[in-house]
Amino acid sequence: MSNVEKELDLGKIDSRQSMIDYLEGYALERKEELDQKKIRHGLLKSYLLETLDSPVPAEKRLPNVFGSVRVRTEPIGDGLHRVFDSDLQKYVGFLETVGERFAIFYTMEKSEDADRWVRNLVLSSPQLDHVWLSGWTFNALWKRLKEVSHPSRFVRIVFEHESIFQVDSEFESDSDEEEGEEREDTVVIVERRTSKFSLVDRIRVVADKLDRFQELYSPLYSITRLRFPSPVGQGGHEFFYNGKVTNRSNSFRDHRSHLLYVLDLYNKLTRQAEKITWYSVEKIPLQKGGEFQKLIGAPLTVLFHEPLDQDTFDHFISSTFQRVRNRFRLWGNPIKLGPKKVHVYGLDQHLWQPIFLEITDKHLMAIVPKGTCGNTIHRLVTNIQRYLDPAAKVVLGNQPYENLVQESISGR
Amino acid sequence: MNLEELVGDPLFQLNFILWQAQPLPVGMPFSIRALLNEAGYSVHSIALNLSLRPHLRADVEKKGVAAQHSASPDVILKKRLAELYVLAEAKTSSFSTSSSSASQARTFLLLQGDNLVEALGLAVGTQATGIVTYLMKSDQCAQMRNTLESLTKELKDGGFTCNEHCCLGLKAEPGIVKVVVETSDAKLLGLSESGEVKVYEADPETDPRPLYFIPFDPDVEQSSEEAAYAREALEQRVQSELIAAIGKVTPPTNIQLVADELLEKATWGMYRLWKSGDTRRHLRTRINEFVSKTLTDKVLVSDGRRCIQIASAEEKDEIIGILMRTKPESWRGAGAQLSFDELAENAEKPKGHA
Repeated sequence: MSNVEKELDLGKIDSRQSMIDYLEGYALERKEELDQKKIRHGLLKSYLLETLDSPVPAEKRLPNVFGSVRVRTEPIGDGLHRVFDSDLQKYVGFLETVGERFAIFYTMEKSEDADRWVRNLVLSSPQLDHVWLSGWTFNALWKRLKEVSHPSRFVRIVFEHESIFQVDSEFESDSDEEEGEEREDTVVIVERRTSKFSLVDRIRVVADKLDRFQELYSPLYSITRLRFPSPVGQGGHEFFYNGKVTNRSNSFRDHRSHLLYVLDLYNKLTRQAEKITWYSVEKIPLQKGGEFQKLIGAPLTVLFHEPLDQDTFDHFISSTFQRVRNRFRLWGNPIKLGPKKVHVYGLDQHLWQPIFLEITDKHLMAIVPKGTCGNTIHRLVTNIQRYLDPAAKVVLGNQPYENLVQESISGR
Repeated sequence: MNLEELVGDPLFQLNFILWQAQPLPVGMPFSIRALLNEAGYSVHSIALNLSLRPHLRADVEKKGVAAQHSASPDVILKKRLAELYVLAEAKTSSFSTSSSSASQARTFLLLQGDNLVEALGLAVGTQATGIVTYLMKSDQCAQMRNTLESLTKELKDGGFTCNEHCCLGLKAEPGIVKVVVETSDAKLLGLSESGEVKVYEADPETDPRPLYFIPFDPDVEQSSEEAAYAREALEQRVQSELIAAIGKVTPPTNIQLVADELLEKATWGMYRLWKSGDTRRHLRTRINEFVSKTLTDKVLVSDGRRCIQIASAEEKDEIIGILMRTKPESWRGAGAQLSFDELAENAEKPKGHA
């Protein structure tokens, strides 16, 4: 099917049922092609997006958000929209709103095009962010996966950690987040710890060994992709750290069910994180009149597994705060309080929310003022595990982040 | 870095108390220990004005007691699951029984039982206990205890009932901050340890100050070094709030800039409580000047109101870029007054602070 035919097809879809039928059929065709190793069209990709918490539901806000970047959303009812890119002059997928603050963008575009499109969309709007699945979240999801999947099924886990701050070479990469080909002839080899590999094995085998491997080699805590085996057939749903999910199963409905499951736990985790960490001096009225100032909140603390050496600390600070485009999307002017200690009364550049940081060689502590989106916390944790310290312990107040993730998954 | 000055600085002490009551990681290696939170305390309020009941005020007047009719402890801490309130006041040093600080201390001591219940707005009949706690340099604590003993005796001799009192000392050595607490005081507060308790540990050359919740207070006296940090923290918070306000809008639009609102946000509402009207006016002026000078042709002044005009996404990026590149490093040690002018002059200079 040519692009034109696909576009026409998308334009004709005008109800939830027709979208489900279309994507169900699409998933089945792609799975058959995958099995025959003759993929003719892109797999279905879903991108989990987070919008700023607001009393106005995402359903009502998103058309304006997308409209500001020349993307038209055409409602087809029931929280679903066709998505038309006015610059590309074509339909690029569907958007489904989930609750008050989440949305899923479904697309069949090529992975590199879709990744770039979503990245640009998020970069262009302070009201949108990726859903950030940290290594700790993936670890908890893996534990749940073990419980709900047959032990003889295969699981795929990708571990990625790159100590980019061991040398002063941090830059914003536009590389595809999926399997990129190594360009050995053009890549400059820089000596720093880099771990990226995938593990595919039966669940029972991985379950038996992963904990011990992680204790032996800390980059294994930095899970950046996890494939849930599909219960309705072969293949599965591959979750990426930035909320991208590839459907490698033969069912769209099963795919969507997994997306909603992860969004639900992410929502619980985000709300719990905000409840704990939001700092504010609130005016509390007194019965007899007047009011008083009450300090509410708890700091976010990241305890590094091993102290950062001087070079890594310096590069982390300079790469983050002397470059407008940095991986952590933070801005601020560090106040130096020692060789390995700075304070930053800065900003989350993506959501334009203040955040105050104390960074030393042993910890990063953040004061997150009320109203700052919990996604800032997840983005921080995800990127610290991926680029700075894969085994860093994260504590909200005095509650380990791992426990909160586990509680969100357990539904407590 | 002068550690003696630091631990005697009122703003450091205020933020130190607040941090001591924060929930922090426990059971894992961490360089900061929140002794008061470990004992079950959290922050009830900051700078809450507590007034004596009318009949107590009358009694105080009748007996000629040198007490204030109302006083605001820097911080009130509340113990978890108990009606126990610590009225905490930070002081650079001890004071004599004839000073104005002693009048304030008498009021804290008198705020016990039903007086405390009413002052805090608690339900009638609540059985609340108050403990007056002073935080200061450890070498001042012995003298402070004597003062508090004298004040308590004086009040009791006059037929008044008083809160219990104690003193927490602060001691700093290179890379270490300790809370010095007498055994009896530790027992009174329910702390798990007494003596010299290490609550912060870092490399010897590291400045031990924590992030400041309350970045600035024009009503306290500070050394130039301490004032420099406070100013920089406040300036950065104002700058962050300004950039955040612009970052959130969708062009084309105009943003009305209200300096009061920026300061309110940057100080988490404490700006309203500053006694110094001059400082408030001064800061408002500086912020307005800063914006006008930094964003010269983007600011429209009409009826005394300032609007930043943002015509397009490109212009928004340009404005944010200018504000981000504007570096307030010259503010540190620049004297007693905030200088947003200097900040504006540094616009577009490359960074290199850290």
